[in-house]
Amino acid sequence: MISFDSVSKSFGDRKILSNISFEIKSGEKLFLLGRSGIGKSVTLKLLVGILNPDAGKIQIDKNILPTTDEGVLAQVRRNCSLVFQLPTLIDSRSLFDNACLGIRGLSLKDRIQKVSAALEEVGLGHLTENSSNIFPPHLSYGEQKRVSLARTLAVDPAYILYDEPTTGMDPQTARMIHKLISKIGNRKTSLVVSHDMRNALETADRIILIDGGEIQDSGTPSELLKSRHPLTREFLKGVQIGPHHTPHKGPQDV
Amino acid sequence: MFKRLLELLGNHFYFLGDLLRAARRYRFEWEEFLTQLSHVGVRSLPTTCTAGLFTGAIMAVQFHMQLKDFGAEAVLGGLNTSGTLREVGPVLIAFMLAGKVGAYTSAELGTMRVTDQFTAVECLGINPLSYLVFPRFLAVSISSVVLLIFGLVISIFGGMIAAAFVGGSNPQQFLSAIPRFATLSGVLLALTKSVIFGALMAQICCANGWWTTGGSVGVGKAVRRTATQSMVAIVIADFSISWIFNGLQRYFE
Repeated sequence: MISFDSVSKSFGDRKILSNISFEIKSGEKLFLLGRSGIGKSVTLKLLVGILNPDAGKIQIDKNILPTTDEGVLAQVRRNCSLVFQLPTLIDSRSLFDNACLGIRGLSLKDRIQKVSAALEEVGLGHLTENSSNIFPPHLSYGEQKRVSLARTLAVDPAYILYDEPTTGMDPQTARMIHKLISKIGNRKTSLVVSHDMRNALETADRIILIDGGEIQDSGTPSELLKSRHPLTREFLKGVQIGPHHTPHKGPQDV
Repeated sequence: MFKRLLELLGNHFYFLGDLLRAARRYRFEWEEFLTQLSHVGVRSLPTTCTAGLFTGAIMAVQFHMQLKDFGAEAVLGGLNTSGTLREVGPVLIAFMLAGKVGAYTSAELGTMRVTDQFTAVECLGINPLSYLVFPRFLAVSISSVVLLIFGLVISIFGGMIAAAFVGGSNPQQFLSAIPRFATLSGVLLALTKSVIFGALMAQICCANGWWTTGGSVGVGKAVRRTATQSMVAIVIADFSISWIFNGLQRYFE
């Protein structure tokens, strides 16, 4: 379980988060929605200890942040893997090296097995055999994004945090990534930061909308559809509920 | 101005301290190191050879113009080699390497910074300084020293070829004059400069790459800072080393 308890964060005079409290239950798929620049990504960075809150605490299972204990921080980072907005692959390292970057203390055979399983899961199983000779610049943006997801899965974390997972993607690739998030979310606790209400409604168990550093509205997708909150209505405006009509076939359909 | 300079020096020392602490604490990344050695070292060899060849040739042409007035062409090989080894060679080749190796490494690390690659590595429980920066630091230091020495050796041949073409000096005459002028202290001076220039370049390019902020503009600024700081540091170091060596030489004589 993850809990934010009265967390505040500012950068200089700019208040980003103000006294935010919420919980993510084990196995839940929680979407954190809001406009750009309102502190969604900051929330994720606070969660993995890259940033420290000005006030309040964050609890991840038994570990409490902020902490100066590097052991606790390492454990938090092992349990909570962050999938960044950009693929963040190391260009000078092969696909295999990138995918097994977070794996520690395993034999080469076990690492290969883990990486193969992770690549298979993200629909890149066909690249497994040649993964030591393929480098990130050889891959498309969507493929790089999926390798970055495979890198997270290979570590086998308890919690997966997604930072704007479909930003800058074409609708087909974005849909593919959301399908993956949904699939992975069936067995991992997921926190997705996004501004995409349509995918949140389709994938999330619960949605929180934040604005002005505070939680404005929250609930299950069906509860939010009935909400009268102006921000929720604004986000729901233009969202057509129902299946996408974009046909998607072939090996990339995951 | 003076305060900013002190601040910059302080930041460089802090960075070096953090880098060495991380390197001591975590496992050395051999694969990354060897990859970088190939990227910045082996691939810079043709450029270094060209720079070395022409540095020696330029010096030979200049010395020949002066020496022929005194009928002293016989000492061309010695003077040319000594001058190239002691002063012009290390500085010119180091400038070229700062532009090529330093700018490349700084841009690569800067891009990693602005695209959150360091943060991503950190989130996976890996120290980015030990995993990504230290192998580059070491690769740039080592390859710069080796390339500088290689470039200096090539510069002797460049001088010899230019002397043959421009001054009609035969290679045997050119080579036989070298031991009279290019003494052990001159060779030591060239080696010392190569080691110090290599370390300075590695420090400056890695630190500026690591400190990059502000997207592609920030990467551009990091590269510019690397080029400027490297060149200024090289000329200051060149003057300081030459001055100290001169003093030491006089003391021992």
